[in-house]
Parts: sequence; structure tokens; C-alpha cells
Amino acid sequence: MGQLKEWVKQDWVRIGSDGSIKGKCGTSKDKSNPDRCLPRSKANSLSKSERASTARKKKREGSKGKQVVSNTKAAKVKKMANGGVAGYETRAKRPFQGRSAPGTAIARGCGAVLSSRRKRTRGSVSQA
Amino acid sequence: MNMMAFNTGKEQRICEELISWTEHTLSKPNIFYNGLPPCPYAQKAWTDKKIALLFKYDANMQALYSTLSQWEDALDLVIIIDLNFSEDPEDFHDYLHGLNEAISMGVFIDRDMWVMGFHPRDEANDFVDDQTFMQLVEDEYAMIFVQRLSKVQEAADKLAKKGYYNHYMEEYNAEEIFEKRETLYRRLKSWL
Repeated sequence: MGQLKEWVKQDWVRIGSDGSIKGKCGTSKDKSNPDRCLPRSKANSLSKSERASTARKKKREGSKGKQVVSNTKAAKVKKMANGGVAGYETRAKRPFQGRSAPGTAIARGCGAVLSSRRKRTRGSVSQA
Repeated sequence: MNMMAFNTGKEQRICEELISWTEHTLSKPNIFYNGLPPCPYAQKAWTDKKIALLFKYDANMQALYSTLSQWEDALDLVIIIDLNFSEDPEDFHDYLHGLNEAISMGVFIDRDMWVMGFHPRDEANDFVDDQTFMQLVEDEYAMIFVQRLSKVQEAADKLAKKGYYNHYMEEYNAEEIFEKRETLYRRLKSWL
């Protein structure tokens, strides 16, 4: 029952469509299409809008009869395949000091790159 | 099934095999069950799209825990196809017995849940296998059935009155399973 203990420790919580944490997973009153659940640490690592986004996706696709609704990219629970603790997003080692551009973020993991040649990525991203 | 999406051809073949197994074996009258089919409600559940399949490829039980903690009443049964199961049927069933206890203690909040296992080397398989069924999938797999405890127990009580368990209990030590489920059902009722 080691895995179960680990799962209990993760303290899965229920996410409302507004992005707020509603309480323990399993307390959803709507039993035909229950709310999205996430480990508490993962839920806390997301912004309210990111939580709302994955919760609404679950409700939207669940109402159409889909049984397994995957999380949004931001809300993906990592390292679960190995039975490990729900993963944490990697953080920048030092604060970003470059010029910010709305709706984009500097791609990480590229090593030292000249400021004029930095890769920028668009979409659902934010700069730490 | 509701919008069943398969990631591989193997998953689809397993689903087809289960539907075929239900038609050919589980829905046919069987002497061991007092002339009743081994699974009298299975065929209707497939037809009514009340069965969902999940596929488990590693030792991680996350799919099972999520099914228990986020149960959807639109379904009657979720079958977790376990392609990475414990070789020993006793270990496999012991784990599920322990899980039923954990459910009853409220670990998943909703106590009205029941898990039951099928292992390819279970002795009880001989009672339903008449050797005429053609397998579609070569690989062995175990199955974990997740259902509402109240629904299973109430259906079992009805079947018991029709003598469904008479012969089965004599030939195979099923009393233990039946009593355990009944105990957990009584415990559930005392909670409600």
C-alpha cells in the first residue's frame, strides 16, 4: 500500500470552474461529471486562471461523455508514471533581467545566447 | 461505450475481446451458477454504454485511485486493463482486498465503491471457460473492476435468492469474498 500512502500524502484537491480550490477530491456534488482534481502542490503551483482552464476543460469534455479528460499543458501532473510525487515546474536560477515583450517568454535551457538572438516563445507562457 | 478512444490497436483488440467474451461466455447460462449467466448484467451494461476501459501499462496505480476518487455515476463499471500485473494471483487479490478496506475507511471520501479483480491464473476462471472462446489478444492481462458497492451488493442479494451462488460456493471458496463485501456494505449503510 506504499503507493496509496504516497497518493494520500499528495492531498488531491477539487478545482472549481472558477479556478478556486473547493476542497478534498471526491467531494464533488455532481456525480455524473465531477470536478477536476489535482495534487495540492500542483494546484498551488498554478495561477487561478490556469486552474480554471483545466477545470473547465474537464467539465466541457466530460459533459460530452469523454471518460478521461487530460489536463491542460500547464496543469499536467508530472512524474506520476513512476509513482513519484507530483512534479514541480522548473524555476529560473536567477531572475530574468532582459527586456520583456508582452505575450512572450525567453525559452529556457538554451544556455548563454546573445540577447539579440534569444528565442522567444508565444502562447500560454509567462516569464518567471 | 462513451466516446471510447484507443491509443493503440492492441487496446482496441482488448476491447473487442471483452465484448466478445461477454457475448460468448459471460451471458450464457452456466451450470455453476444454477443455470444463470456468470455475469447477468454485463451485456446490458455494454449495450447501454455504461462501461469504460482504462489501460494500465506500469506499476503505477494512479488510474485506479483517480477512478475511485472521481467516480462518475454516468457509468456502471470501469474496467482497468492491467498489462503490468502481479504474477501471483494471491498478491494481486490481496492488494485489492486491502484497497476495499481503505475505501471503507474513507480514504477516497466516497465509501460506496468496490474493486474486484480478475487474474488470468485465477482458479475460478475454469468455471466460465468452456474452451470454445477464441482469443483475439495473445498477451495476458489482469482486470480491475470498479463499481458502486451498493449496486454490486444489492444485485448479488437478488442473485443469491435465485441460487446463483449455491454451486459456486461449494466448488470454489467464494464465501470469503461474499462475506467481506457484505460486511463492507453493512458498514457503508451504517455510515449513511
